[in-house]
Amino acid sequence: MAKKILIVEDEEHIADGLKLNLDAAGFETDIAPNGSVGLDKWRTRTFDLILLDIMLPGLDGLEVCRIIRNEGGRIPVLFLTARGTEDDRIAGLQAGGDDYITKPFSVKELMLRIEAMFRRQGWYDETKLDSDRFTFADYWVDFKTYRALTITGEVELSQKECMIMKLLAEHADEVVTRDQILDSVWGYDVYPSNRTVDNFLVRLRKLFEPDSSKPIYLHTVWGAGYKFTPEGSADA
Amino acid sequence: MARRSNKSPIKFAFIVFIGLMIFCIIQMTWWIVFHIGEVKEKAELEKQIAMLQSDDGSLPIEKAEEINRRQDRMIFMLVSESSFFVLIILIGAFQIYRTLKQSEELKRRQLNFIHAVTHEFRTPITSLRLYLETLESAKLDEKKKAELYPKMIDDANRLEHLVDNVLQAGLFDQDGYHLNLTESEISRDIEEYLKSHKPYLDRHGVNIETDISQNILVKTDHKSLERVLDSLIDNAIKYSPNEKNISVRLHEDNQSAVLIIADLGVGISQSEQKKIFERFYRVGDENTRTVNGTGLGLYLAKEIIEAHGGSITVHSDGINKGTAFEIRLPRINHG
Repeated sequence: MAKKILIVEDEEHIADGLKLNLDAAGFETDIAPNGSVGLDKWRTRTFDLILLDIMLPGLDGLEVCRIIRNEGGRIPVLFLTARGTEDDRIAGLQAGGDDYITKPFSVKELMLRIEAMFRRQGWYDETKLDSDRFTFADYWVDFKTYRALTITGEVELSQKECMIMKLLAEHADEVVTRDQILDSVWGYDVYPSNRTVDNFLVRLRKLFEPDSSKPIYLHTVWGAGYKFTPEGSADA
Repeated sequence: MARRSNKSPIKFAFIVFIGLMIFCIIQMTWWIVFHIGEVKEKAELEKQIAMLQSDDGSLPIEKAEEINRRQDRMIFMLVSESSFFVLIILIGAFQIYRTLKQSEELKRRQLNFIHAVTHEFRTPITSLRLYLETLESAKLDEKKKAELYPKMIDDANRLEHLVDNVLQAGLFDQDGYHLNLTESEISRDIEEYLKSHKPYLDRHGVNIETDISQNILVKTDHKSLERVLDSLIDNAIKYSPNEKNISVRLHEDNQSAVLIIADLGVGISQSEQKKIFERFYRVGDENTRTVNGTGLGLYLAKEIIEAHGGSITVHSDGINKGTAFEIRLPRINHG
């Protein structure tokens, strides 16, 4: 079945151009000319991805994305913007966006980004593990509901945290490099440094390690990346 | 990457100036008190000397009055001179503070302008590129293709208009803007403008209501006048989020042709009305703005109208009360 893409863009010509190309590529598309119409459409219909312009009349794109995430929406969001500085990119990702493309862009680049986003989503949705609920030691992570039993009790994980946990669980007892994590969870050049991955690991250790300064499950392998040992081990 | 600092240099300068002012005033007060004490001591000594020099050991009344007068004069001189210098320092400091504040504001506007221009240029380039790539690769029927060309021409026009605005603003800065004035009937110019722009206005859902008096002669530069009308009409469209009702009225008084372009849109607050004709001025900050533009349109409109010897003013009763721009151009009276 064709994937459905919601285009939230106030510039009529750009929205039309996007629609023409995405339709030609076999996607189903719908256009919202501003943020509030975009939100309404997202709430009432089902989409697989949102192309979201940042500078919109009324409710801007960042705010739209924040609202979607606050309402529990996990739909992949690709920001479109005329400004591509690092600050702008970080603002987009902090608002909950998954990727970012700067205007003017080529159709080819846009298609690659969209395909990569679907690929990441596809990898996440397709279960390589025995079940959606992955159990280790006294804890579990549910990749479908994004909930986890941690040291502090049952909590909701963010989408990225779940994706990292899933990648590590699929490669249990193997070294997973930071680049591998960046590529599987974020893709391409979204984040300026792979220190971002380290920050996520710090948070995950707080959730699953009895003593996060001496990890027994989520190990750092110096100069390489990370290794997950579900059975618990003092050494990487 | 270097991050933008949130510390305002203006705030820092303000604190330094206030500190300096307090220090100057304390210093000056101490200096006055110290010298007044000295003057009083000196007067007292003079009185004692005068008493010693007098035959009966008492102070002659005339001498005492003279010493007191001299003392008062000295005190007056000290107080007035020091107050004068404090005032000069205060004025100087205020001037420096104001200049700093203005330069900071100009810097902010220039940065906003660069952001706005980036956005304004990238938007038509993006759609042009999308359309061209679509024409090149997507399988479109002839009808669909034919629909794309006028849109691409629109985008090219938008780019041209932007480049023109930026260039014109540069020319005004260097006093290099020259008008090619010809005598014409302004009602005809305006009617022709509205006629030629009808497709554009229709596309934006604009209802134009006109009330145009005939036979008013003015000297105008046609291209420049068109630019002014473009700015005012675009402004009315941009700031009328719902019903786009724009009225264009032309009449004459003793000296001028008076053109009023009014909308029923979001209006402009009193404080903003003073600033909207300034170069690069745009309401709010570029990061949170939701209306397109570069902050050059109204600035250029004002410069052009003033170069014609006319004036442009804005009237709005406030937010959501609509906006009216009034242009007055010198009328030619052959009678």
